[in-house]
Amino acid sequence: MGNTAIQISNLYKSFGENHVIKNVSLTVPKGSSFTLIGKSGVGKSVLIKNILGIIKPDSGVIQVNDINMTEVKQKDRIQVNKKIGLGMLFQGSALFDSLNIRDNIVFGIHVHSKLTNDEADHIALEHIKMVGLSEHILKQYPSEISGGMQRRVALARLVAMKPQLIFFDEPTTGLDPIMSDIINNLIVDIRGYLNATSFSITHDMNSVRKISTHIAMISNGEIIWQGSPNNIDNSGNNIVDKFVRGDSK
Amino acid sequence: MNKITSFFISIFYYVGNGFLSSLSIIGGKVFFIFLGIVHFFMPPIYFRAMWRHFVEIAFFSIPVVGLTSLFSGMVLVLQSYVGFARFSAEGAIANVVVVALTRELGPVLTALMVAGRISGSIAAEIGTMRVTEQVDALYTMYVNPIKYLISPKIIAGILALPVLVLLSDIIGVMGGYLISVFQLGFISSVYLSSTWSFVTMGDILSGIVKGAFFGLIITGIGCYYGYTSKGGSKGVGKSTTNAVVVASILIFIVDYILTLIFFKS
Ligand SMILES: Nc1ncnc2c1ncn2[C@@H]1O[C@H](COP(=O)(O)OP(=O)(O)O)[C@@H](O)[C@H]1O
Ligand SMILES: [Mg+2]
Repeated sequence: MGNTAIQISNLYKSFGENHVIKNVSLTVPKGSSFTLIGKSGVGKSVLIKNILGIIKPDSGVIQVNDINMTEVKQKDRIQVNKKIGLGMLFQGSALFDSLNIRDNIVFGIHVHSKLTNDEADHIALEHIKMVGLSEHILKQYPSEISGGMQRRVALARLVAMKPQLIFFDEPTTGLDPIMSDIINNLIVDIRGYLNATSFSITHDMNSVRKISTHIAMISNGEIIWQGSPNNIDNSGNNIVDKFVRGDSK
Repeated sequence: MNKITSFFISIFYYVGNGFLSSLSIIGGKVFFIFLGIVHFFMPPIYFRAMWRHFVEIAFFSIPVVGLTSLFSGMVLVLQSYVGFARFSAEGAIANVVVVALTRELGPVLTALMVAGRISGSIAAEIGTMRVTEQVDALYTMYVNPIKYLISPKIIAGILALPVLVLLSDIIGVMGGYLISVFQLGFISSVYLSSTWSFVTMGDILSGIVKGAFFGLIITGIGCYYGYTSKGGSKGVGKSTTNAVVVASILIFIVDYILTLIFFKS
């Protein structure tokens, strides 16, 4: 196996007349923390969903761990994702609202291999502590806890499955600065703990600086700049500069 | 001449287009429900989830179905009495009532009541999961959402409705019996024996087969509209309404088709 986790070549995706992804090519090295930045609505989530197989690209090639995902049959796709160990943190946490926090955390393991009650309790406890929450909330339901706590439970649910290639879709959006910082630290810790590669989407510059080893900027459906946290402040690219300054003009 | 030709061509165009697009609309739903059924039988089989939905559909519909069937049976006897008394054929009331109930009213009324309860709630539940990305979350946890969310509900519907139809038949006939004996003065044993001797296994079975199809429509259409929801909570509201309306209409259309098939054979 090579040193590349994700290799995207000449990817295109349109929804009708809306050409969202236009000729995107990207390389995500193994073990890196790759961050994709860009304004809201430019197609960052669509790009991730293409990689995961939730959305089908119009053309182009997506390779993950040297497997050509665009050639994998739909019915085999979930098994291939499982073999690679793909995982995702959703923008709105996407906790199962019919299950309590404990069952949310153990869901992914329980559904594939039956757990005893004690084993499930143990796993839930271990992971709720890992994300810095009290065990008291294990019996509560997602609607009964705050957005920041939901995000942390979603992280716990993600880690419990021990993914090797993790997608974080706007992990700090909608959270206050302190909670955002907690989430950023957790993302760094989790990646280290799992020894995983991560691919994050964000428009939060604090997050970008904190979690990234590699950065790419998408604008108007194309990758317009690639670099690292060290050179993002003198990228020499107008659009990147504006984004870093938080300038809308 | 030219104008007339182009007029007819445009008629063909619109009719053909409408026909093709309605085929593709129906085809999408049929394929979706077919996938749901097939996935149920591929291991692992989620039997417990299916059983939970079965109880939700069958057991908790008993009050609604029981009441509607009881009153339908009662009304049916009164109305047939009005008609049959005009040519002194009161003796045929028991026969007509049991045939109408088992072949037609039991299945259709049961299905309509259950559609109101279940199609909308399934669409709302799955629709909410869709727009809050819980469906995608299932997928990223290596769970096939069709198999996990859809299949158990459709199978539960197919199994639950026949049971409810049978129950509806019994309660409907009871309702008719009560009115005949206590209000219209029929002799109890005569009413019952003409009911039993007249009804055939075919009458009852045809109603039960209808029930299975209606169960598939009720749950399948609810799942389809929920699964294809988009546009936040407003979109979920729209899917919920559509699910109930489409399921109810399909119940009538499929009822006609099945009746035609049973009629011919
Ligand atoms: N399933 C879909 N069907 C149609 N259009 C979509 C779909 N998903 C996303 N889009 C469109 O694609 C564009 C990019 O969306 P998205 O990737 O969510 O943006 P973001 O960069 O904020 O994550 C938007 O214009 C959105 O309306
Ligand atoms: Mg997004």
